[in-house]
Amino acid sequence: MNLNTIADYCLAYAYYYPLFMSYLWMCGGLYYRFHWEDSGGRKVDDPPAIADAPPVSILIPCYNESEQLEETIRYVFEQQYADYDVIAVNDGSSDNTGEILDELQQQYPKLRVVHLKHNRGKAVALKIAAMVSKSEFLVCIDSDAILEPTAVSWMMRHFIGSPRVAAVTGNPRIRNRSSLLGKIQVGEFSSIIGLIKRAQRIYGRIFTVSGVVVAFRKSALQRVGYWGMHTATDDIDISWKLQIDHWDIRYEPNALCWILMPETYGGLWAQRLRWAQGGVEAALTYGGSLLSWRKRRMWMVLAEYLFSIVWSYIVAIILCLWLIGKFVTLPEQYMVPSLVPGWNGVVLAMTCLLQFMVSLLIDSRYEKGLWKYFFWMVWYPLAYWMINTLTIIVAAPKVLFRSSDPTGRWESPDRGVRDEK
Amino acid sequence: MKNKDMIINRPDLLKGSQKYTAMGLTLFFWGALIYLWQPAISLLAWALNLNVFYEHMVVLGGYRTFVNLLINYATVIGILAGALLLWARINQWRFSGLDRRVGIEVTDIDAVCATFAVNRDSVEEWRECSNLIVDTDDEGLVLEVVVIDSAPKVSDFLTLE
Repeated sequence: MNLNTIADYCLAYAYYYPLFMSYLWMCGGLYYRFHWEDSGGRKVDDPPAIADAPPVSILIPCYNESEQLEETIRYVFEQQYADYDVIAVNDGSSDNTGEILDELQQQYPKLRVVHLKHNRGKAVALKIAAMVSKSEFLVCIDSDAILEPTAVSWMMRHFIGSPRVAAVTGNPRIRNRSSLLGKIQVGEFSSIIGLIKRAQRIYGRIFTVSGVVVAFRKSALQRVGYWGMHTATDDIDISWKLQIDHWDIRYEPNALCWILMPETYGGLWAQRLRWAQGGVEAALTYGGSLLSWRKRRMWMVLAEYLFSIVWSYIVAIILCLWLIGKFVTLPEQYMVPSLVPGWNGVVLAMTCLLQFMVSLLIDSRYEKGLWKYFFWMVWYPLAYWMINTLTIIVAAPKVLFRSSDPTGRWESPDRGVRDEK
Repeated sequence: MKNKDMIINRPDLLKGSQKYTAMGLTLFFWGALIYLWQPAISLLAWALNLNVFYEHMVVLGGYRTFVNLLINYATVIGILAGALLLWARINQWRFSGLDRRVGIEVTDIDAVCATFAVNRDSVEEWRECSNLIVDTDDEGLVLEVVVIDSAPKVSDFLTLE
């Protein structure tokens, strides 16, 4: 590619950034898989034993979750971990979540229930639960998530003997796969999110824990002031706060948690926009404080995010210039004569395929038969970058120019296509 | 827990509009992917006529562009991957088996009480309860706590907004 004009530079960046990031993720993912993930040949249902297992509280914030709660609570009490209790927080729900929790408490004596009088958002619900928990270790899951019976044991092994580990994030697996959106999110969590987390663990810092399944050390939370209340995504915020305070965050792919994802376009858009807003907020809030040598381990995470923001805007500019060029004669340096990628496109398509193969290789350990989603997944890396572009373009000005802080209150989008009972 | 028990796959429950949109999007993205493969597909078709293939790709050196491109990519990917793996190895060599940083003392109940601006006796009591109603302000500071440990009926206490 000859770089003669501004448009050429933009095209080069638009093309090379996702291409080379993809290889970096694949390389990091493969290294992590074969170096760290084998766990002595143990399978998901056979976690290493923990001597003198410290007590754990499983925290479940619930807001208008009457349809999902019973299933979540039933499975959470199948945990094989030796010493745990469960604290469910009814976050001022306007449906009958509170009553359902009270009924479930009769059934499960280890279930503790906290009713917040008003809806205050997930961060407040978690903070109150942390306050009333007697345990030093807190496992937080969403109220529509189903925790694999061995998940707590897998996460807890990282805290034992590693006093600087503040959090361990688990491996969310998509349950609902009826529609195209469900199927492609299976691909996304497997071939993109999982790979990125593994690669980021090789840098030494991760962009975010998965809020749907994450374990925390309470002392670390106490030091950083617990979860932020005025942020679109509490999980991104807490991840940055902990790592800036020099805590370590680990990824435990054996800690499986089955989750429901939106299967409507509106629901998916709302969720992705919120994630993008959370990322922009974190970069703005903490970016400045990272300019010290002591915070250098976060530089890669920040750089990766800033590059992706710039990339999104460059792609948008290229498309605009190309479109405008169809109707108006632009100066030569701004001309985008064609979007045809030629052999570069072949390399990009090969990369999509390769990324999928690598993720299949890594993920087949946790789920057999992922290849069945091949037809739906193989093009997903293309769609991923497009969704990324759109959400960042909308989210960045929303965060930069908003007049008040977000309340931290949000309701889960749709939970996919399910048989109505 | 069996994975298959967790998976919900009920395409029969999709509405017609959902099915058609999905079909449209799938076609679009498969089209986009095939579009990216276009030079390779053209080449394959071209290769079926081997004389022309030989003349253009070998004699006239048509393969060079692609080979050069691959060499450039392989170089960049090699450098990136090498740097990442080297970094992983350096970290493993420096930190393997040791925690350079000292552990931090486990947070005691007094620190938690100070953060939440509540007194120790109350927190100790709440930690033993199995059912509570908590009123907080917007910032999450506790305003009031009602203990309803036995035979809880939240509807007796809460006026939902």
